[in-house]
Amino acid sequence: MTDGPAPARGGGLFRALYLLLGVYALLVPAATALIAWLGVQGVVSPWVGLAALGAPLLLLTTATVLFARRRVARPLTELLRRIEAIARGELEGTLAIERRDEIGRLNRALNELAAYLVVAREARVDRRFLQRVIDAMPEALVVLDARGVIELHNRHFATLLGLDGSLTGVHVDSLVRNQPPGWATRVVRTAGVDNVEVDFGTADGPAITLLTSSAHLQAEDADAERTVLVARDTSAVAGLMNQLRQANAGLEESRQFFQNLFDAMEDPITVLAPDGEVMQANRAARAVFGRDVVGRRCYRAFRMRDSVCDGCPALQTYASRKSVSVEHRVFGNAITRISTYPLLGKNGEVRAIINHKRDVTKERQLEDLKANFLAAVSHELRTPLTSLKGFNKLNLRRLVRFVQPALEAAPHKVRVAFGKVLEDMQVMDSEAERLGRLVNDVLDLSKLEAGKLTLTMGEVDAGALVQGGIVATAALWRDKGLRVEAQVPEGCPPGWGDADRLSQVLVNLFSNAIKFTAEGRITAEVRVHEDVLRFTVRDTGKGIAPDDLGGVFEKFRQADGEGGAQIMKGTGLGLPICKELIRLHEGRIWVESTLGEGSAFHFTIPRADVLDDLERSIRAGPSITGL
Amino acid sequence: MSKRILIVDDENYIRLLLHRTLEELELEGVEIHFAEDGVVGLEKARALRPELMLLDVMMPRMDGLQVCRAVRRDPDLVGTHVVILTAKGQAPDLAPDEAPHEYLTKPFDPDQIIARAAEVLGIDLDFEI
Repeated sequence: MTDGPAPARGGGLFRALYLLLGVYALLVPAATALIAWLGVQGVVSPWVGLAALGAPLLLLTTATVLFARRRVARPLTELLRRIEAIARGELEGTLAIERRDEIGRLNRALNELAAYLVVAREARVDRRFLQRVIDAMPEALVVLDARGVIELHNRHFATLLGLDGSLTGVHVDSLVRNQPPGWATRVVRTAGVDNVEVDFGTADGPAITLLTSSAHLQAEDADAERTVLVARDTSAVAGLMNQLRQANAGLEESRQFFQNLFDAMEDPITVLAPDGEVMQANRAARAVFGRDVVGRRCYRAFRMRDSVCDGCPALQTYASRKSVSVEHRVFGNAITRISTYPLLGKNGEVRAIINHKRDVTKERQLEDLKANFLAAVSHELRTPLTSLKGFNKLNLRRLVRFVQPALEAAPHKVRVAFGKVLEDMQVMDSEAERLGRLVNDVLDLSKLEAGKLTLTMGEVDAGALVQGGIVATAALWRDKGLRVEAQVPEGCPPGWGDADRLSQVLVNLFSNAIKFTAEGRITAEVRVHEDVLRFTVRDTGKGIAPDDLGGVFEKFRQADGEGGAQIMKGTGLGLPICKELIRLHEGRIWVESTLGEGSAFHFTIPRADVLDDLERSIRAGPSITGL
Repeated sequence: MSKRILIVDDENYIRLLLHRTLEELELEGVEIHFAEDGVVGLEKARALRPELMLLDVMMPRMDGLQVCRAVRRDPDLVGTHVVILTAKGQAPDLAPDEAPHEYLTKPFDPDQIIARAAEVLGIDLDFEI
């Protein structure tokens, strides 16, 4: 508004009108007086005088009316139309009235008004857009003025407070519940808040906890500074947090359960890191090794040594990823067994080692007692057995050598009776023989089960083992007219085991095969697998019923043999002994059979050529090392 | 001079059984002597210097292994063939100069015993076993 007219100064239009009125005021009395004087003088007739007076007046009036019409009424009409248009919201377009008078000013004012209205309308559109944006926010947004009064807020804020209407103009302190008085003032004036849980609520409505942060909008004028609060409803998060807390509590409960379980173990149990550091210790371990055992090195904590112990089972477990058991004789007769088990990670690596210490003195004493008892019993059984069998045999020989020839002339009855005596004494002989084997097998098995039987491990020749088994049972299979074949691949690598014990297993399997095969053949095979040698003894015998397959390795299970009395009856301990022996070799023994077609007994032993020294030493079996 | 067999066993009937088993050798002039424990056995061995000694293992006072060791170390008894009568699996590891010349497993076969004895003593039995 550069040339806005000062309202005190009169406009050009009024000045023109005043001029016309002034001319009227001067002309009318002057003309009237002139006509009156001329009339009195009789210069002119009164009509002419009147006409002379009226004509200019008429002219003047017509001029005035025309002027007013052109200069006032028409622009006013246009202005009116424009005002009506503005009222309808048609703000565009201006009137071209370039005048300095009131009409011109009115037009300019109208144009300014229209321009202002355009700006205002745009501002209103901006503000509505802004409102829509902040209403769309999932968070509550509140703009506070410098005093803490709400200047603007989004709908979400009102909704959270359970309101439909506007909270504009309300001091935010009146909506805050859990904060000290004057909270808003402090937020506005000082640092503000960052993720603070604030309870908002109207006086009569419910409160809601909002996680509130603030931002400050700086301005030159302190009164124009604004503070924006952004608040998030945390109840959904709170639900999640609650679930998390419950899950945590469950975890803690189960952790506590396992800790209690761990602590309830009577034996000292520790968890070792691969480097031997004690990571965890149960109560018994803390009692034995000291309360500060966790964090110390195992050899120091357990055995007061400065370096790794010889034959450290944890190291063996770490290297082999297998459980290892070692027994120590400590302090006189006490025997401690250390068992280590690997805790494997996702990729099969050893993450930790469980170390279980157990005092096995009593177990070993009991086992010794049992073994001594069994040894004594078997000796005591064997001695009379030896007498029985020996005297029976002597008598048989005497009868055959001396009595039989003398009876040739005896009556038939006497000779028949004598024949029966010989037969019965033969039965006594074979039964005494069986009793002897039974005593031996019981002794063997009890030693095996007590872990008293130590294997003498070494490289074994598979072919020689098979041939040895065939030769040892030659009397049996020849007697029954069976064929025996061996199939051992050329260049078969050596196995790792105790040759005598493996031979015992093979002889046992051959005897069994022969015992249950009336005709056909026995085949012994050796197959080379990746880590193991697999031995198979296959027969064409009567086979084993599916229901009986599972029990063949159990003690005192035996079926009737095929082919009559020349085959010795078994003790029912042969296969259980085989099973124990193969187990000691870390091998597997199993049977496949089809009833009526035959059976195949398989067992595996490690290949010697794939074992390293450590594995060889571990596979040597449980050992007792003295201190 | 006649050949001698010394039987050392604490069991009466075993001594009797061994005697009965080997008695046919007496017909060939072999003397059979007995001892009922290890101590007596060693004394008799030193006194008699037998060609063949049959030793039980488990005996009171002195067991068969100790007797065996003593006999084998005794330079006067180099001519004594020592046989230990043992149950299966009882054979202990002994140094070669302390070990018996052979083991026979109980329960033993009389035919086997007499055959071995005759062989050790160098006697041909004229009857069929």
